Amino acid sequence: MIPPRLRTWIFVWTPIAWLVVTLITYPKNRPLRTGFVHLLGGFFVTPSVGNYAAWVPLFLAIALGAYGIVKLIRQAQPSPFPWVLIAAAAESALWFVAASGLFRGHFDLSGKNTSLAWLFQTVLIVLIGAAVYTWGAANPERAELTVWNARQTWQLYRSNWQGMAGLYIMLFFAAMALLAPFLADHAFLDPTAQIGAPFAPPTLAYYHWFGTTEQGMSVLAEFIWSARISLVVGLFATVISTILGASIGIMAGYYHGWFSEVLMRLTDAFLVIPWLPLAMVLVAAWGQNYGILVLIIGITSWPGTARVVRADALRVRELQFIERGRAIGSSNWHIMQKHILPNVFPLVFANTILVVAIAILAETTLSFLGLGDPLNFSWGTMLHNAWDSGAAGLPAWWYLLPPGIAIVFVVLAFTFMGTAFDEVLDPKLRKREQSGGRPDEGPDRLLPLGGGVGGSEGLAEVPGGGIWAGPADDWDPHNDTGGRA
Amino acid sequence: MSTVKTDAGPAAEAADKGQRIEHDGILDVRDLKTYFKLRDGDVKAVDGVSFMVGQGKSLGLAGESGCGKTTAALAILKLLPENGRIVSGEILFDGKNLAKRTEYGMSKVRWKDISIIFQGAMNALNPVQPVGKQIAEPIVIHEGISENKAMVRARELFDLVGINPKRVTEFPHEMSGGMRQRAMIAMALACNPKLIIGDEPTTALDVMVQAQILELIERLRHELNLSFILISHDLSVMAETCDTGVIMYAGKVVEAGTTTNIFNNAQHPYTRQLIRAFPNIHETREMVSSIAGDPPNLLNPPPGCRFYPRCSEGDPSCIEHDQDMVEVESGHFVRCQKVA
Repeated sequence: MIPPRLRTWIFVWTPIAWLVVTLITYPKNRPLRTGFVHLLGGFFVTPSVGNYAAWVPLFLAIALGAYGIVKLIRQAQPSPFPWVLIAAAAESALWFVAASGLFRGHFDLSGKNTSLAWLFQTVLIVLIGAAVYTWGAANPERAELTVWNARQTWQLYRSNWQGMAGLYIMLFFAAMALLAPFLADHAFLDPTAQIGAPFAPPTLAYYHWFGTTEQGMSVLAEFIWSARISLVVGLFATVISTILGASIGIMAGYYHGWFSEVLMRLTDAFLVIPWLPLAMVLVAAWGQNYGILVLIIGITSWPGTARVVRADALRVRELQFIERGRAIGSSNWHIMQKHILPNVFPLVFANTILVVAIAILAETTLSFLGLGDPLNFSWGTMLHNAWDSGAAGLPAWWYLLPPGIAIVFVVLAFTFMGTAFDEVLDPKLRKREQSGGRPDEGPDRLLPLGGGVGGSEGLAEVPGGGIWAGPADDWDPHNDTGGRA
Repeated sequence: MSTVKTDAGPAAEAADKGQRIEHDGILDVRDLKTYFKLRDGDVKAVDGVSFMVGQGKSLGLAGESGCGKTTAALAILKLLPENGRIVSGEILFDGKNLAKRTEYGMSKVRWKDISIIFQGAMNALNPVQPVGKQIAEPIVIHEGISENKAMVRARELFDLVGINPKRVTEFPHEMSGGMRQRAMIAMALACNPKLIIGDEPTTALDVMVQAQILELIERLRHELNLSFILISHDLSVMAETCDTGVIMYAGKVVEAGTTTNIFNNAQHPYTRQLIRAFPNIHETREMVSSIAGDPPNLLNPPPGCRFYPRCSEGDPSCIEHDQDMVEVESGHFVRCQKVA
């Protein structure tokens, strides 16, 4: 039987996930007036092998299919869970066949047939929702535990004002990025789409809210569409950075000897290489586009994560249950994956959110220096254009301030969230904040009253200076350290 | 019947050919030497220790802190820290010499044939994993069955050690100390091992729980016909649970025999003083006596008898004479030239 709360979650979150994916894949080159019929997923359907996004369904198909087959082989009682996964994998593979353009002539999903792409993503999300549902029904105990854990974390997170402030700021910008097609017509980003004179100051008309650029284009439209690139580059670069940093950190912490040394010297090397010149050289060598930017930021920002994770892995590896793991006959890989990773995970998670902030800043820096994708706008690119055109000297403050403030707020939001998660997931930090005292203060029944009450009935004087509030016979003088241990 | 062997029979040729080595009992440790490498030299933590555990019997390893008893136990499973190594000697288990096995070869023996109950149960359990899942872990690894099936077995094991099977989903911090120790015992039983090593399984527990745990171990040992090695500094625990006992001092066995022999007829001065250091509830109340001095530094152990510097009965000839074990009565061996 599926836990009721998980069922509620599935029914709430599946439509939300569908909405988010639909907004991400919404065709940006399609004007609003064509209506909802045409907003159906143009992102994935450009029929070309070079369209990286079209390969996403293939990776999804491989991952879901492999997991489904493993589950099918290992399951104890027959359950529909693996079959739902395999169905989702098959659907995703079909989507790839249609969208990649590799099989043109047999089954082609060209730009005209966008409703088919929309159908694919809708079916996929429904299938994933069904997979979670059947998983919950097959493993009710584990599902209950997962739900409980998530609720506990959320309760703690909610009570942290920094975290909530960060979350609201982040949600504001995320909503702006997702709703960009509805907030500003992408056509206004076309270099020929002037809406007024160059550097015209803001007026109350919608597209003139933030004035115009040096070419007389709408700053507002650029600002809204830039949010997408800035956030996406930040998030994907963080994924690469965290996977690299966490795995290198865990391995360097778990192993002893030369292997660990090599990994740490590699980390040091990456740490001392000035990343900006390195990134500039890499951009020059590999080309200016967003995939490359993601890759470059990802492979230059992991050493910090690696060092932090290694420090914690070093602590965890000395705990006795790691020795017990070896005594059980577990392989090193198994120990790292099942025992070390879950124990360092809170740190990795909190660190990840902080890395997002760093990655967004890195993207802004590179774009500001003119190394961003020339075909798309990001906040860094906007600042670059403003600087190049002399907006600062005019001063055309409406051109410089919006992207600058947005970057400050987004980075601040992620930093707030990272700090909040650090506190929520680390029980030591949490306890200090809530109890107002050191967590290792003695038993609660030892009242810090000092001497002088001795002789009162039911109270025994304790050498340490406190008063034992329990029954007098309960106190064991041989076990009492008296605060002088 | 467990006895203690004093002679180290070389079985290396048979081991090289992968043949079965004939030996007595289920585990036969012969002249085991385990050293730790430090900057200043080798610490001879275990220096020529021999003992044997019979099928379905229990053996107690006792001695002060730092006498090498835990090292000897960890050497059996080759779980020594990085700077520790087995220098010589044989660990014969089920016809195989474990001392010669590789790390991969050991991973097939660990837990499947020999399991271990660790000292502090609270530290030996992963705090972020449900206890049942941790018990299922060795079953999944060694028997290759699914986790769900292993969880069914984990429930049975919980029942066996007297914990409500519903509690398999609980985390270690939700259990009391005694219950965690029971869970550790359940884990030790997970793969139906032939031999269990208890490394001070009751040390961190209060006396009531200690008694319950020992009773549980005793019951399971008889029900499942297990062999058991108990490592303890607590002689009373050893007397209560074990068929045979081995007293170690400074990396060497000083006295070995049945527990009755050791307690009623202790021959080595160290054993006698160790027994005197525990209060006796049957006799008049008097202060327990401690043994003066400290155990020797095992980087350079004293010459001759290692106990001589603290011994009240020795004379200078003890320094010159490196005494072997002598049999004082059937199955009772002592390393003391006063007795020989």
